Parts: sequence; structure tokens; C-alpha cells
Amino acid sequence: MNSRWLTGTLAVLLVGTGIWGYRQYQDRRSLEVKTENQYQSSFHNLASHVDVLQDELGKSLAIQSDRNMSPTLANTWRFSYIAEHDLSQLPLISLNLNKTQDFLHRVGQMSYDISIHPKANQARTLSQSDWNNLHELYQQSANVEQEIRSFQTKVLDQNLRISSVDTVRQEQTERSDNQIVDGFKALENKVSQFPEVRSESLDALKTRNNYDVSTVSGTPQSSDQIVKNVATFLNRTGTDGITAEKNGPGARYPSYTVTVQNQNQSPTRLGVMEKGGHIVWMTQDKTADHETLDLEQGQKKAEQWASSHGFSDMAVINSTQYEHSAAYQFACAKGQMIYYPCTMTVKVALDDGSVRGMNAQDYVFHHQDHQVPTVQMTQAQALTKVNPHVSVQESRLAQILDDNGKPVNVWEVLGTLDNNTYKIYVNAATGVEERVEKLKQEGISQADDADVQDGVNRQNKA
Amino acid sequence: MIVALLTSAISVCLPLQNFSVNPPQAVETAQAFSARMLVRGSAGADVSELQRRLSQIGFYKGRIDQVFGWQTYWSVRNFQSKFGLKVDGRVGASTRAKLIAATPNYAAHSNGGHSAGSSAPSPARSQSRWRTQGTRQSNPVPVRNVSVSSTGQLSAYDMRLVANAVNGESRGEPFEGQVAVAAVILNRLRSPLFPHSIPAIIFQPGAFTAVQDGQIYLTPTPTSFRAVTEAVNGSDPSDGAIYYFNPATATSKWIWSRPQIKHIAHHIFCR
Repeated sequence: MNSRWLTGTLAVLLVGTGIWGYRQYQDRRSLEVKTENQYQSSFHNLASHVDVLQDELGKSLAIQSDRNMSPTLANTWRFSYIAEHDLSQLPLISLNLNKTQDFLHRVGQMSYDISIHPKANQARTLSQSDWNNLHELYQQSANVEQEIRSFQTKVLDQNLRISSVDTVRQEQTERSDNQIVDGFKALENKVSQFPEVRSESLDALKTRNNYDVSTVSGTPQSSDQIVKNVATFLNRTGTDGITAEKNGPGARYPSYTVTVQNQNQSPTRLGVMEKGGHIVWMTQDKTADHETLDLEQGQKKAEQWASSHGFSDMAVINSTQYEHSAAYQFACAKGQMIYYPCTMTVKVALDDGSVRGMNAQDYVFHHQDHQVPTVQMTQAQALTKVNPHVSVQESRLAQILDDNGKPVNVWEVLGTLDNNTYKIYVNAATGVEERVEKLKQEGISQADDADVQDGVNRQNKA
Repeated sequence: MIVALLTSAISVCLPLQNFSVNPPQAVETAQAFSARMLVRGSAGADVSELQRRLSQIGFYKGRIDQVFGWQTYWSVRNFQSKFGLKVDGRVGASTRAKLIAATPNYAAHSNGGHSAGSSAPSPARSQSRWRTQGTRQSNPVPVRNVSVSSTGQLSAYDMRLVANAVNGESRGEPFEGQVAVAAVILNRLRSPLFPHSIPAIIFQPGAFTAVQDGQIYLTPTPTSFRAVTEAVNGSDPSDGAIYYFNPATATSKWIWSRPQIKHIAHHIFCR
């Protein structure tokens, strides 16, 4: 009797486990298929978007009229952006497909420059050099398309799974028999052999995140000198408790990270450039827990600190308060003119008015003896170039960097339209509207805030 | 993990304690109005009150968001101009007094006393801040607002997402290490080699382990928010890194091939 019960129970359990196990298997399988589907969709989209991109580029070479050129290059720009996105949705970050990503980005940039945002007064018909560039890009994209298409055929014929790349990564092996990995490596290899297409804005794209050390004054400093520099900067009598460590080869320019031990407080950390020993940034993790100063009083502290630390001729252009601290953005200023490329941020704790952080990288690279230029356009003339729907509130002279990273003198106009605030930059020499920005300064609405706070409390109680 | 939770618990408790010290029935006194000067960029519950009062008499049409932004600025100027005050967009004693006189029916969005310390009351439900300013107790809810630079900007919602990523990736790291992780995400936004929006960067397959293992969905601690705010306001202890990894747990070899910049706590930051 007992054993019959036992057998029965075991049988039921076994069948139950079997069903449960099979369900688990099915669930996992369906999740895997879902992931794979997403990858496959991105991959095949990439192939077809590169196809369209290449066709549109080809058309642009044969088109004569502005009327047809614009939409064609707009399409090229659009599809290069989508193709970039497709590529970024594949699990390939470890393959460093930089060249392929960069290629798509450059195609987009080139077509954007010619068609969507041409230089002022420039006809949209192609110059000879533009045509040559597009022609080169067209041929390159034909190569890319061919490579992807043959790879695509392989993926379909041999039923290759793109998610297998994830497995390769997890196994930590340098296995090279993964055909997906190989396919993309081959593509990257092909793109890296393309001759470089050059234009002003493509060059600017390349140098945008680079910092040109040759513009900075001074000679390379030893780590001892840098430690002394920092001691002077922080008004410390000796160099005790200050250590400098050179940053590795990945740093944008030769630099040191300096640590300064403080009594009963967390250390102060500074970034210092090797050339000239310029202090690039400083930070100390110490939160203010109450406020005795308001935003304006804090600004005075920031201004005093800036001028006593050698940052002269600067004006506060923006301030933000957060968590009993305030961040002040300074820009170089001469007379009434503001130099936007040359900026610095200073963080002031509103409890004791001490400066707990600063970033002067843009100041270090763009500071110079600024001269107020004589401009061709008067303020009144510049204002006539502003959209009449905008009600102008204030305006002043300023310098900004244009899309190619070159300094331009502009009239900066602050205006409102509906409930929004805009900054409009009018070229002070030509009257061309260089750029329009919509200004935002907002918090998360209070309902959200309460939710977040409740969430935090819940988590901490759990 | 537990340590991280404990520390965050402590950091949440501190402001709560401060708050419960604050007498809810603070006496209305004349000098309370001479409290801090509000200017563009100011943030806090008193800014919300400013916005509510301005909104009541039709000068302000935006959201009540605790942040003295551009819209509040123009509303204040309009108010000053209509009421014969000096038009400078700054809310000091005289503008405050005029505004209070102009909004006699203003009811503080109060629902009575505070539920002592059990949860942080939203400022929307608390006492009129302007009247309790005399005690110099500031708002207990951390205000996260977004600074705007001329180069690019992040919405408050993008910042929330970055905070989730920072929390999931590095909540056990020292504060500096968390700021550095936030800075890497912002540096990617400026790089042509990565997707061009915060969500696409964070959810790029394989980009962040916290996305792969779901830790990104944990509610971020106030420290993570603080780290993100710090990075958005220009702090980058990583010195321009676009990758980082934990050498003890890194599962792929390729990451070692990236040119390194520095160590911060458990992470190596690289280009």
C-alpha cells in the first residue's frame, strides 16, 4: 500500500518536473529567439539602409538641379544616421568597429554640410571638390554594401546566429572561428583601407574632441614642480600630503592626477597639465548639508576665488543651484564682449562659501589676450536680422565657435517666443544668423520627485 | 551591496532628521521675508512658492518645478514691471513683499503637520517655505535641476536614466568613481563612435553590465543623482575616458587593448 503511494507520488512528481522543465526550456528558447530576432532585424536593416544610402549618393552625382539635390542628400544624411543606429544595436562593442561607424558618420556629415546646412550664401549645387568627395564616398559605400551583402548571404545560407557573439564574449576566449565576428572584422578591415575623404567640416569632426596642446603656454613640468604648483594654488605652506601620478597614454594630453590629503576631510583631487603645469580641474567630495549663502552671495565667493587664483577678466554667464551647492559658469569677458570658447565652472558650497570644485579645461585651451574687435554691423542692424516673431530682450557682442571650430564674432540676442527663451547668434560681420539655441533650465516636476524619493525610501527599508 | 544600501540609508536619513527638527508651525515673522535672494538658477521649495504665487495672478504659466529657470525669470520681470519695481529679475525683499501683497488668497499647499520622519513630504504638501525660511532649514528633497551649457544639454529625464546606470554600475564605488562613470556616458555622447542619445548609449548591447544583468532597474540612490549632477556641471575625474572596466571581473580581453588613463578605486578608465 505504502509503496504504491510512493510510486504514484514519484510518478506524479516526475511528470510534474518534466512539464516544468519543458516549460522552462520553452521560455528560455523563446527569449533567445526574441533576442536573436532583434539582432537579425538590426543587421538586415543595416544592409538595406546602406543599400539605399549608396543609391542616393549615386543619384546625387548625376543630379544637376537644387530642387532634386536637396532631398537626395537629405535622404543620404537620414539613412546614414539610421545605419549608424542599426550598427550600434548589434552586440559588437568589443569588436571596435570604429572605422565603419566613423565612415557612416562622415557620409552623414558630408551630405548634411552640402545640403541641409550649407554655408551662408553658398549654392546647393556641388562644387568640383564636393563632387569629388561625394564620388569617393559613393565608391566606398559601394564597397561597404558589397561586403555586407555577401556577409548577409552567408548569415542566411548558413543560418548564423548573431547572439553567438555574446557567447564568445562570455567564454573569454580569443576564438576566431565565430563567423559573425569574422564577418564584421572583414568589413572593418575593408573600410580602414579606404583613402581619406577630406573637407573642412570632416577635419573639424576629427579634431573636435582633440585638444591642441600647442595653443597652451609653458614648458613641460616635472612631477615635483607640479606638486609645488598645486601647493601654491591651494595656498598650502608645504608639499606634505600631496602626490602626483602621471596619467596613462589614453589621456587626451600629457597630464597628472594630483591627490591632496586633507585633515579630517576627503582628499582634494586635481587634474594638472604637464605643459605649463596648468590646473585643469579640481574636485573635493564634501557635501554641504545646509545653506547660509544664497546664489548671489555664493557668486561673490566664486568671483573672489577666480580672481585670486589667476582667472582674470571673467564674467558669470550661468548659475545653477543643487543640493546646497552652486555651480557658476564663467566665460572670458572683455568690455561688454563674452568669449564663449573660453569658459570655466566653479562649484561653491553654500554652507561655508568654500570652493569645492572647478573645471577650467576650456579656459586653459582658449585663454588669450582677447581684443574687442571692431565689427561691421551695429547692434541695431543685427537686430533687424532676428525673426520678427521673437521679442528681443537683451543683446551683446560675443565670440562663438562655428561648426568647423573656428571663432566667429557675433551679436548674441536673447529673445522670447511664447513661453520659451532663445539665444540667437547673428554674425557681426555678415549679418548671417549663425545659430539659434533654445534655453532650458528645469527640474523634474514635483510629482516625479516625490515618486523618486518614495522609491528611495522603499529601497532602503527593504 | 549591503554596505551600499546602508550608506545610502544614512544619507537619506540625515536630511529627514534635519527636517523633523524644523518646527512645522513656524511663526510668521517679518524678518522671515528677508530670507535668501532668489535669482535665475536658484532652486528649492521657496522657488516653488514663488512660481505658485506668480501663477495665481497669471504671470507664470510653466510647471511648478522648484527651479528658477528662464520662464520664471521673465515672469518675475513682468511682475516687477507691472508693479513699478526695479526690473532686474531678482526676487529680494521688495519684490517678495509686493508679491505677497498681490496674492492675499495664497494658501500654502499645506495639509497640516508633517508625518514625522516616516517619508519625506513632497514640498508641494508642506508648509509655506517662505514663512519657515527664518529657521534656515532648507528643503529636504534633493533638487535635481539641469544646467545648460552652450554646447549641449540633457533633459532631467536623461539625467534620471544616467543616474540609474551609475547606480547599477558603480554604487559600491567612492563618489569620485561614480562621477567618473557618469562622465564616461557624457563623453560618449560627444564621440562620433557611439550612439547619439543617452538612451541609445546606455542600452547599446554589451555596453554596460548593469544593463545586461538588470541592475540598472534598481532605484538610484541620492548619491548616484549627485554624481550625475556633478558630471553634468562639468566634473570629469576620468580625464576624458570613453571606456572603463573592473580588472578583477572584466570578461573580455579586448578591453585591455584600450589605451588607459588612470585607476579610480576598482575601475580602470581608458580611451
